[in-house]
This record gives sequence, structure tokens and C-alpha cells, in this order.
Amino acid sequence: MKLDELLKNSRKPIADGGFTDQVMKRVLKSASAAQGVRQKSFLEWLKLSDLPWFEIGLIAVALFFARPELLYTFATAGVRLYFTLSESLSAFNYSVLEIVALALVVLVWASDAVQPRFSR
Amino acid sequence: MEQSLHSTRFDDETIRRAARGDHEAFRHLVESNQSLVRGVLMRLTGFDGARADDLAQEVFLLAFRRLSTFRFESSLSTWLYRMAYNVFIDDQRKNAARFAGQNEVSELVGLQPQIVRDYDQLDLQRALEKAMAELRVEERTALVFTIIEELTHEEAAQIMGVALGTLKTHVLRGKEQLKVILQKSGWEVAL
Repeated sequence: MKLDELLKNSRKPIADGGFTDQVMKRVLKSASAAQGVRQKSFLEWLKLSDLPWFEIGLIAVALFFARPELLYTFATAGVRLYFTLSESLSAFNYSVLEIVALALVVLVWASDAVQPRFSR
Repeated sequence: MEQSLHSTRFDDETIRRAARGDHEAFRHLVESNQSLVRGVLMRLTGFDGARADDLAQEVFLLAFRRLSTFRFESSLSTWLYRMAYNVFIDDQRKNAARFAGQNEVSELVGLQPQIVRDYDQLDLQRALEKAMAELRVEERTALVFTIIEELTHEEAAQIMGVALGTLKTHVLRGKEQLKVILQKSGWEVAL
């Protein structure tokens, strides 16, 4: 028998037998994982999860009761400052921001500027 | 260029839909080409069914990720063959130690040549599968693509990333080796 003929005869179709289902499972898993990575990297790029939201909230409350009209200015300046100093602040584990936030709350509550609002 | 046996397995529109992330279209693509990819990997791996299926899954996963880069310059089957060959070669390199002893089998077979008097086609096919597994990877691959899958020499050379002359040498040496291995096992075949 000729070798070429023998080799050609060795080819036979392979039944699917659930192979496609297995591939599709992996494809869907891979597709959703890829989407997850995309979402995560977008959030990471924004660094929103790294922001000290508790402290920012305290500062916002304090500023709102003191001078609501300055809230926007202080908030944007604060975020800019955060991004600029985040590296060095991280060494203090955000303790500087916490102190600033608490100090502002105490000052505002203690100041006369707040009293008229509550007396009204 | 001569078209391969499998070149018209899929229409361009379905490929485009699959490339845009349409899972149904991709499922159709897998269903239509699974036999081709698994078949070629089965032969490249020396009829190791489990390994061939694992690699075939890798091929389709890669195809899903890279389908948007498919430029319709070659047939989809040639594109899949190339991917299958690359996945196989990568796996072969990663597991070089595991597959190192494979080519030694022929010498063991050669020690006790079978005297075949009354054989049937099934025995011959089994002997052929065994002999194919004992060939060098390049020779086996060249025979799989050019004779079994009936690709042109140019297509096979392109898939394997070798010069046409090198491919032809692999084919010739592969055939000679196959004949020798089969002879040692007691089978007479003509080139």
C-alpha cells in the first residue's frame, strides 16, 4: 500500500461530544473576566477607592455648616491637594487628613458662625 | 494559490459577527471547525486525545480573543491551523522534558520486529499512528499538513514558519522515516 494513501485514510471526522460547550464556557468566563479587568483598571486609574472618603466627608460637613458657598472651592482644592500629596501622606497613613478633618469639625462647632444656624 | 480542503468552511459575515463578540456566531465557528482543529492536534500530539483537546480549547480561546485581527487574507482554516501549530509548539517547548523520551520507542519496536501474516486495516492504522508519534515534530507536522490535511506546500511552510525547501525536506525525510519505522514493525509500505 502507498504511504500517502494510508496517511490520507487515517483522517476521520471527530464528533463534537460536548467539546463546543466546554469551549463556550471558557470563552464566556474569559469574556466576563476581561470585562472585570477593564472595569477594575478604570477604577484603579481614577483611584477613587484610595481616597479617604471618611475624612473628606467630615471636612465637607464642617465646611458646609461654616461657609456653604466655599464648599465647592475647598472640595476641589482638597482633592487636588490629595492627589499631589497622596504619596507623602500615605506614609502617615492619612493621619494628617484625619487630624485636619477633626480639627475643622471642632473649630466649626465651637465657632460663632455655626451657632446662628442652630439657634434659628 | 491552491485552496485547501477546508478553506470554505465558514462564511465571512459569521466571522465578522464572531469578531465583534457575537457568542452565537463564535459557537457556530467552533462547531464547524472543532473536528479540523482537534484532528490536526491529535496527529501532532501523537494521538494523545486529552492533550489534543486541551490544546484545541486553547486554540479556540485564542481565536476568540484575536478574531478581530483576522484579515481575510488567508482562509479561516489556515489561520486556525497556524494557531494550532503555534499552541502545540509552545506546549511542546514548555513540556520538553516530558516528551523527551517519545522518539526512543521506535528502537524498542525495532528489537522485536513483528512478522505479519494476516493483518487488517485497523492494525495497520494503529501501527501508523504509533509510527507517526515517533517521528520528529517537524517531520510529523509537515506530513500532517501536506498529506493528511491536504494543504499546499506553500501553505504548510507558511504555517510552520519555514522555507519551502525546508518543508519539502521535512516531508521527504518524514516519509522515509515512517517507512523505516513501519518496516521495523513488520509492515511494508511504498513511498
